[in-house]
Amino acid sequence: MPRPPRIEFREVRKTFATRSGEQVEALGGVSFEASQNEFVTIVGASGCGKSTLLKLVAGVIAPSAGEILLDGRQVVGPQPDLGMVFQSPVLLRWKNVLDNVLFPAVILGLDRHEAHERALALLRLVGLQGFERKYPRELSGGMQQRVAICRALLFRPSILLMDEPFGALDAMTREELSVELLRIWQEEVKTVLFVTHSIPEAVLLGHRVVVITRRPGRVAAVVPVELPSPRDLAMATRPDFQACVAAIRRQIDARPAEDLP
Amino acid sequence: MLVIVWQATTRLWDIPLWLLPAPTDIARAAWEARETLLAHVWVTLYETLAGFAVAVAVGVPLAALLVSSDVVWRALYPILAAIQSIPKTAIAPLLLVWFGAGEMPKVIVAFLIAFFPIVVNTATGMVLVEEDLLHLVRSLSASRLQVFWHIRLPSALPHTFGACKVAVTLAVVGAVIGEFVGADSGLGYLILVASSQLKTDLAFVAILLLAVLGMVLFWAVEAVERLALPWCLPETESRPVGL
Amino acid sequence: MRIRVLCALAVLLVAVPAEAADKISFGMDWQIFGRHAGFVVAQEKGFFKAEGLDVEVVRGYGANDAIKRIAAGTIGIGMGDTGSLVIARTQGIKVKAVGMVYGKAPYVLWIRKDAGVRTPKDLEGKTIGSAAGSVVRQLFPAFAKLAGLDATKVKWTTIDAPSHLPMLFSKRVDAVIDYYIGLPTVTKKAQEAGVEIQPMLYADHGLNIYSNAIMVKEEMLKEQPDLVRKLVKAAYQGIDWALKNPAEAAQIVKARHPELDADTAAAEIGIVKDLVWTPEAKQHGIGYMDAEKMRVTRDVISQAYELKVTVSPEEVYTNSFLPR
Repeated sequence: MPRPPRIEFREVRKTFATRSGEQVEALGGVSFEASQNEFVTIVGASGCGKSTLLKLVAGVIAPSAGEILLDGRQVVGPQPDLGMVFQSPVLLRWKNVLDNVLFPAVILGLDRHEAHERALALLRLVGLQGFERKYPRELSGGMQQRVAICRALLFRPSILLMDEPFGALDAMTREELSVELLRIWQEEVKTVLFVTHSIPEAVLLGHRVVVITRRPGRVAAVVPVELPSPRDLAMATRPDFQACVAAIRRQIDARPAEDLP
Repeated sequence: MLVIVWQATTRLWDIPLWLLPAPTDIARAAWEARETLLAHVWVTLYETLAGFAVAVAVGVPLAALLVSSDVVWRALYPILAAIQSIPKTAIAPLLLVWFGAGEMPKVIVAFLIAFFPIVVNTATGMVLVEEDLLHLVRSLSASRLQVFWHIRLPSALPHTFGACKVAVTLAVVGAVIGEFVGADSGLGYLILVASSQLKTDLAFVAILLLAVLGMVLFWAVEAVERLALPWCLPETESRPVGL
Repeated sequence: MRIRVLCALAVLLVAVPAEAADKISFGMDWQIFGRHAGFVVAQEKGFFKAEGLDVEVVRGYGANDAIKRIAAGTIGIGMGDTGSLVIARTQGIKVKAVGMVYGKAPYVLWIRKDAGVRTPKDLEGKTIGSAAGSVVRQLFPAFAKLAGLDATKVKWTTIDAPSHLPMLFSKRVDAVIDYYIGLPTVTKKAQEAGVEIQPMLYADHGLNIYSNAIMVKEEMLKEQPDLVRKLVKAAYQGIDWALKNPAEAAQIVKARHPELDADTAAAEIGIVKDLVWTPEAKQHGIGYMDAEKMRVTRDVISQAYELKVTVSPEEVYTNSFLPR
């Protein structure tokens, strides 16, 4: 019996009602899969429903049609074993760095001692040792995002959902954190769904890139990235890298049949 | 500086004592009345603190109730707004007849004036939580109680403290309103009695003491805030919403 | 900059209360009721106008507060309490009485019948409600001495004016202070509440002093004597007319203050008549103030308030501006 894919989307549609009462179809039938320990990046224009995909996997919103399956079982509510990182770090302003990382342990009721050790190790991993007692307002955006990543990894989830986590950071910090994320992933290999609107970033980080069309979002293409691992920034100049980026860009720019006059 | 100008002005223009006493007159009146003054201060202080304490004890849970569901919000909020709009000077005489001339009516008036900003601001703070943070905790299967206790409540605290700073000074006003309507002691009562006997200097003593009382209480709340919320930036976090 | 602003404010404080030169405010001792009909009539029937005066009768905020307002210039002329005037003069307030209105002390206690007070002595141990600094309350020690009771054994609860009757009827206090002129109102309200009230007049127990009088700033007597004479003349014209025609006078007041009850107003005017027409008024003319009675007033007040400065009766009043 073949193993079911880690994450599977089957013809998922999602419609939202706006404040003025209109119905907006964010996703118009999305289908793709992600395998165990695969780093899948999702790329597309703004507003094409990419973030919605992650929230559907996490079970915090429900699809209007279609199914999302984790290990073959349908997602009907919040899932254990799943870490989330958002574009905004959303750290708790009133807790220090260490307590922020430990926050999931409090909610989930995990063993405090073990969680404490793990938190310290994670902070060391991202280069924030010594900052345990600092408050979020004392940290830069990049540092806060690193804390958010540690928090997401605290309880060793086997799936990591990241929604444009570097979107609010400057270019240099972005690059830094991309490299760091790759390094973390090497140490703590897991299945990752990474949403971004930067095609180079999608290619650099992902094994496969899922390209989503403009609203209503559908899968335009799934582009495999044939670059060697471990990745590094220098790869951005390679011709196969650039070709990949170009291919993806063509997919995004291509108008769906309905749009043509 | 202000004191010097005041003193000079009253002397230069020979302003009569009963119209605008000079700072020296006020100081003298204060000294003469020093034995009874402390008792009056204590009475008004007690009424203020009691009313304020009840306002906090009722206001915060009420805010939590308000944000718990849309239905509750729509049902309760108009009632609260209505209570707030009723002038307390109109209610005070009724309270006097119902509860007598002891501290109860003043505590109630102080409470009625003080609790609204606390409720409104706390509720605002509880609701003003980033959506992604809520998604995050929900993805961890946090219960509603956990969300409230770990996220909404700490989120609301700066707002609550901001409102408390306002509320505590309002509570002083409430206590004085209550005293004006019926009392045997307190700074408000003292103002009434002194001015009716044309002892304007003594009335000013009471007025100044009230001002000092308000200031001291304000600073006290601020001090508690600094201790309780070390992570708070005063300028951005605790500005009250909608006086 | 701040100093300049403060100086300006201080100057304003003294200057602003002064009125516009032509229009004169005649301040009453309290809200306008039927008892003030005389003054309202003087305005409405044009008695002031006939003297070439533009006068507006306005409400007051206390019979002793009126004195302050006269001194401050907020009102040009007003009706204040004579006893309070004696005190005011010890504080250097230069206001003078130019005509008596309540020549008989109207100070009264409304006592609930079920409080079991038959003689003044029974007031010991009871609770009386009054507004802060009320003249009636302040004179209580004088009354107590004359009536033979220990004033220190009486409890006082300070309540504002609108709360007096509710507190009395709800048994939170055994008695409240008032002017006897309030009898028609109290009788009506007591009837509605189903409570029996009995009055105890200070005057019945020997405390007969002067009460409300028409007063002006002393310097006005020197600088504008004719104006004072005209004001006083027109005022008493109004009072005289009102006392002779209570029903119509009540209607005139009600026309200005529709919330008043005409019958109660007319009844109040009837009581005022008794207070205005004292023996000395009957003999010497309306508003006349007797020197001896004024001296007694001064003595009683000085004792009751333990005044440290002696005020001569002549400082307090003058009959020179009354209409002949």
